[in-house]
Amino acid sequence: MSPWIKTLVYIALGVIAVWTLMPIYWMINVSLKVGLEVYEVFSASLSLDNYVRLFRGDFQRYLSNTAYLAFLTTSISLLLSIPAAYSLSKLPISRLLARGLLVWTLFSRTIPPIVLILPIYVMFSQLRLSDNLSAVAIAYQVYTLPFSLWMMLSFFRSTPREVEEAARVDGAGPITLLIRILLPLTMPGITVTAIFSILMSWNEFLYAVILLHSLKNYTVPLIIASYISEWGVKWGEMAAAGLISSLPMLLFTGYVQRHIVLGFMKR
Amino acid sequence: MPTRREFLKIAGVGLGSLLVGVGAGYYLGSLGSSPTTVTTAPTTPKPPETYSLSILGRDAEHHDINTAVIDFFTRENTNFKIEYSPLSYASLYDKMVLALQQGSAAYDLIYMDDPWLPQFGERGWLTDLEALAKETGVQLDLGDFPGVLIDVGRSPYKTGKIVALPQMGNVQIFAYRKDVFDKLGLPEPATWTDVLNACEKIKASGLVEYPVAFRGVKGNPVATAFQPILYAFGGKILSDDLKKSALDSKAVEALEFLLQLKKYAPPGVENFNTPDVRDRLVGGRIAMSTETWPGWIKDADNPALSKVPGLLAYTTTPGERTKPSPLLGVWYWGIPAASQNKAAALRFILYSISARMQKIMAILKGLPPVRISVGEDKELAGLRRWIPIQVKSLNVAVPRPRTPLWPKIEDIFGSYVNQVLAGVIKPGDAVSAMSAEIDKVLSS
Amino acid sequence: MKLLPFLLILPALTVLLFVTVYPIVSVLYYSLHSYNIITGEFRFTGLQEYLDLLQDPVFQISVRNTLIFSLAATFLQTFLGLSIAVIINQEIRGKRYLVPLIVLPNMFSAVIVSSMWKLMLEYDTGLVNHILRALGFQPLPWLTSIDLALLSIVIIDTWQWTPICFLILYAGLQSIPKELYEAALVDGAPPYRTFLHITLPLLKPYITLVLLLRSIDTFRLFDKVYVLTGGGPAHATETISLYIFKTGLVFWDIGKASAASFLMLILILAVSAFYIKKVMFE
Repeated sequence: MSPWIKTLVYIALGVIAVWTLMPIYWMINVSLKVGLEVYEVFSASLSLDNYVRLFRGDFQRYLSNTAYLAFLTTSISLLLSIPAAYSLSKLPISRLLARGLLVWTLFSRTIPPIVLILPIYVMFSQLRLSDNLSAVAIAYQVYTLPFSLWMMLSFFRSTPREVEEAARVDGAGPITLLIRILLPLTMPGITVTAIFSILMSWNEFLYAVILLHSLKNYTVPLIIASYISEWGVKWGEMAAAGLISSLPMLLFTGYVQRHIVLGFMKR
Repeated sequence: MPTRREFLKIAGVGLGSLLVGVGAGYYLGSLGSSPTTVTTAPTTPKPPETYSLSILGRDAEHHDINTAVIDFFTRENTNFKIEYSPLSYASLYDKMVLALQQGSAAYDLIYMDDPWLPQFGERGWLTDLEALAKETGVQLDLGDFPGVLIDVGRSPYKTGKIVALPQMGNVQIFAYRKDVFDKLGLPEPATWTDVLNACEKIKASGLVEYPVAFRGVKGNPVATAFQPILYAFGGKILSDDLKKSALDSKAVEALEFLLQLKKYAPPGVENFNTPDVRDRLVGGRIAMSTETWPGWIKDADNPALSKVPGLLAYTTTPGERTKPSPLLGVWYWGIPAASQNKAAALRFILYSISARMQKIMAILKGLPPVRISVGEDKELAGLRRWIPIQVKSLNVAVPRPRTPLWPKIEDIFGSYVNQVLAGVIKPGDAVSAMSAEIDKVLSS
Repeated sequence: MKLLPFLLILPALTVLLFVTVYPIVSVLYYSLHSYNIITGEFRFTGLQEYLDLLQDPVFQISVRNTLIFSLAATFLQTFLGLSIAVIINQEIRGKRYLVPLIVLPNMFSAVIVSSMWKLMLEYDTGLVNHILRALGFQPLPWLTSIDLALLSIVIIDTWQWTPICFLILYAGLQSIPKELYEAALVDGAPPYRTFLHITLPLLKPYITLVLLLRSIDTFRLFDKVYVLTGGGPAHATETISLYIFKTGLVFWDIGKASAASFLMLILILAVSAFYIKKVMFE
């Protein structure tokens, strides 16, 4: 590279870094300010009050609600998608059915979620399932099930044929093959799929705001939105909550770095 | 020794089944605790010694205030157990309507915003509190409340039975910077014209960044901010029989006044919501807030949270052609018709709205009281400076039109006032367009 | 034994039917009725809801805003993502740390992202206008003016989602064999020609995927307008999702909201078909 271009590239990198980090720096900054100081661009005071107040205000409860919902959603998705993806990729199944199912899962990915929520809302209130975290995990399958199915499908397809054939020669049936051979082989893929499903439900807002009502069931995005009220906005607590709740996601994506692109391409 | 792969497999399966197990358990647990109709035998020989009440109410500051009242109450009445379920504004309305519609006995007490009362009352969802008081031998002494608060608690409005009693006396007041007004020799504004004159002088003086601010964002906020101006100019939204729109040339005039006011407001006022106005008022960036809710200023005298401690003064919202007409936003207690614990619920309501409790809550949590005597309390006036004006404002306050269709009408009204403010439609055109749309809603 | 493959997909199929097919059929059914949960009204009205909807100026504006937002955000984010990918793909040090850093914005929920940007875009006190003033420009009423509100939301969405466009396109760039570039270098082709004739054609499947994914996601815009503007000022940031939310879940007009939902589904169908074709058959 010529030194000219090199300089330009580094300038561009600087701009990208500032653009990316500025709002995050701002979030950290706001989380350390109290009251009206959030409106001052330069203020020296630093305080951990917001973090203290957050946990006095039951923030751990909202974190655990969010985690519970994310893990339940993900477990359901995996339990449903692993056998289905196995069947579609390895077993003799009607081509028409397989095609149909796959096309429909892709179509579901493109449906705007608001389109599906009205009937789900009506049905949940008739069945007295609204305001129930576990029921929301079912609704979240709209997001995670098609995704998990496609992810698992691509992992199963990439396993070497020889391993299966060897197992078949040893007399293993299809279920044994799945549990003994394929699951261990695709465990890294399952982890990546799980992490992405967790990420999807962790930050979900639309279905949560519609289906969850009481404070005791709130997830983190809902409690953050509730800091904006007719009494004013709790900016500091909001920023602190945003930072704390995204820490697990940062760790997770650090962990799946190698597969991160695949995850985002399929989601 | 299991190999690493086997270990992963076992761990995976174990974790999976654990999660499913927890999920199932949680789900069953929540089914068990979901509200079901409780039927008590009508011929119980002895009244139960303990009472348990379940309350459906608001979150945030309302939650803090109401749970504090509950703390006091259960400490003095140890045979009561009270559970309070807090919900956000929108969820509260939905959940309440669904519970009331199904005749659910899950809640013994509900905490309601005043515009909901016409609908709830009309449908017969609420208990007649006068009759209940008589039945249980309790005195219902209402002389200490501003008349309009009791009228609003009646169904139908003014003339019917009392179905709700006020807890939180929210009402708009006018806030201004006493120091700025004194320096410029300006009188306390009594009319909207006074406000406009003050704006001009303050702008010329450069003492404050902007003379005035108000909520301009579409929907409920701008509708609420504009109503005291509309009423002071002699305008009305609905006819007295609530059958059609009554917006006329006075509304046009009031909208034109709003545009005058906008010239002195910060840029972007057409998208201002509560925090935008509230934080500018308490942050010392504006000299006047045309509609100020008690919750906004409860920390205004606290130097740690305010830039203007001791500098704000309060008065009722100005008049113009007619008397001042601040808007009422009071929260009420009611007892669902299906409740099985009505007598106990009434006992709690009367405790909560007692003068003693209203004063304690005003001191502790900044609750805007609903009683005249509390508003005249000297000790309280020293601690919470806005309370005398707030209770005085309750006496002249105007409730929002008493129709169950109000939410839809408010949406239309708030949308057009916002468009006028944003400059995309002229006041005259806006008034005829919203009249037509409101008439359509009322006739369907 | 022949049943096993079917039995294994049955649970997934059932749940998928329950969360997608059932709602779509119901939405179509509701949309032919005047249906209000609060008043309990439910009667057949045929296509009336659709006719009302198409004449509703707010719905028309919502559709227009949604399309403008979707197009602008999709192209801007893809363009920026591609530019960043090309820059990072140069031989520079510290690449390993740059990639995770660039992805950071996507780890936050839209609610918190929107709120922090609201503070930064404040007219008097926000950071962005401070910088503009320091550079000698006029401050701008970002979220509060009719002309800029939708653009501001495009910017916020771009901050949050460009990283993902970058990730996918970067993966695409890295999949291009180095030898191709070396051959071009030997031929003495200038860099822009290499880019136009080697990089872009080979990157095309990735670019298409990014364009599709982003248009699908931006079309459903809800969280940001819900938190930031509520659809205002005037109707400058009304979107179809927000319209359905308000009509259906605030005013309980389920019939009209369902009609809007069904029309929204029809609007996305072209993109859906393209996306299915791409993922399924390529």
